Amino acid sequence: MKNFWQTYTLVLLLCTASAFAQVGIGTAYPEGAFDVALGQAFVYPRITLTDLNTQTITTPSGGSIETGTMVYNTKNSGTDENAVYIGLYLWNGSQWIAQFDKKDNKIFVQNASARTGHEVGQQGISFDLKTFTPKYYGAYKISVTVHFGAGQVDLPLTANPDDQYTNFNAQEGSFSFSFNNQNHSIGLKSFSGNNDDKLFDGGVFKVYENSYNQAQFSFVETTLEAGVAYDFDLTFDQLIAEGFISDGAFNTDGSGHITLNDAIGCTVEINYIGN
Amino acid sequence: MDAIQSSYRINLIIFTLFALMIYVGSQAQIGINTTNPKGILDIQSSTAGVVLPRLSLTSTQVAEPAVNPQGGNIPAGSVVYNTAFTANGSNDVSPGMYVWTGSEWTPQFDRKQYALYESQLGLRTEPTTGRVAVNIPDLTNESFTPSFTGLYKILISVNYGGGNCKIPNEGNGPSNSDADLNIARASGQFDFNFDGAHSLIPVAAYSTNYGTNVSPRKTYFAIWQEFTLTKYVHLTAGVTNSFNMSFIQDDAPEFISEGQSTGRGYVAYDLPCRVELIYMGQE
Repeated sequence: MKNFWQTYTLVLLLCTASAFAQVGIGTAYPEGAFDVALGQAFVYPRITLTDLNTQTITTPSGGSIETGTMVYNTKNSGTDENAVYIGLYLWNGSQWIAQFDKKDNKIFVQNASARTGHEVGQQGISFDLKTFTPKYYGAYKISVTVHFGAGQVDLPLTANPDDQYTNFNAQEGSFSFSFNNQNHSIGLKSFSGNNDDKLFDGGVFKVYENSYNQAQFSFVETTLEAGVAYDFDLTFDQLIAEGFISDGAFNTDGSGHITLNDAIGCTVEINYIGN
Repeated sequence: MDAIQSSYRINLIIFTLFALMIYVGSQAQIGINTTNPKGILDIQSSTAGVVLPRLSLTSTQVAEPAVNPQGGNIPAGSVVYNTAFTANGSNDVSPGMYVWTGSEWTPQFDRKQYALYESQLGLRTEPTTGRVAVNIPDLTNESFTPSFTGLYKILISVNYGGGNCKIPNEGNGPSNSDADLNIARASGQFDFNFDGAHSLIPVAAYSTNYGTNVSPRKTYFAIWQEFTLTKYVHLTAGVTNSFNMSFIQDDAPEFISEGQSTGRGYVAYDLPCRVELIYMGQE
């Protein structure tokens, strides 16, 4: 009974209740069933949840908690799809539902131009950082955008003027993107050419190179773990390119281009898409 | 009845109301409208909600105006409904529920914002003296006002195709080439200007034309290619950004009328050029 009177005194100081059974703290006119109108926060019970499926707490009588029960989880816990993070959670009858916004998005942009060569093998594309550390456990979409432009082709055959005035060839190679012990590759081609037709520009010989093509491939990693640093690497392997100057050897005019075409570079974008 | 008696009587009424409405058990739970609270605080109502303390936060990094009545820091798990909107460029808050984690206020609501801008279709481009940029209709002097401070993704998609290239010149004179096929590249550069920050996107496409002695004579043009550029930028809530997309067509001597008339290039031939802005969260 002493407890009761202590609490009653406290409540009397803080609360005003109308006949409709609202409670106001710091207000005589509660505008909801429970209205906290002091310049102070409302402190939710601080609970250390273990995972999304375990109630961890009980009702005062020891029973299963009610739908609508809200707690503040004080720690990140777990490394799987049932992991919980610091923040407010609401019990929906079967699971704890995070009330906060789970966003995790990053982009990595190529930071230096590169020329390619058929004899080089896997050639690295450089980025400031090649590590991604997820904030949350779950599914991430990884989108890799690449560019490749062919080098210069050989001159048109001029032995017989009727033979060729134009010479166009395609150069190709394949990008490899490694992430989380998986390799993803995509082939990409680009046309280069020249045109010795005398009818335009006073007969100026036209050379077309680095007419780059762009490609994007995406995949989903369904089970990335929070806090784990995942390294990635993007490389390009150019094939031998007959019809190109020096067969497309490295550091010749026939070399392919993975250049920063002004704003256009290779990018790796990683987006959290949910559990 | 004197004033003291009256006051006593009112207190008694209030006490009775409390006794009826608030049940404080031995575990110190509070039930509002229930004598059987199922949690530390159990509020039963079919008509009214819970009104959180409405505070005007100034920054996600500043606990005040929330204070701990016992003195010291406010505890982690403190929740307020923030009524303020700040636009300082970092640590900004917008109206909604926030929880204090011990070092900062974190929003407890879903934040989304998306905007799409599309160009008109069917634009023709031609070389200009002095390389004058031409604005892309409907992507000209547009504006975007972020709802939140933080990371936004700008996804820019442009497409470009060449016009008709010249018919190969026939004959064996010094200015002739007697070719049967002309393959030529048309090119140009998009300039996406977002509040003074320029992103240049060079584009190119091939066109072909057969000589008049080839039958049937075919000409291929508007073989457009699309290029996309993805940027992540930091924007400030409430601060309007203006942006503009323009295009400069390179000289095109290989094309009919030196890139005029039917030699003009194509922008947005089948597909509009697009600018998308998407809120991606805090950095």
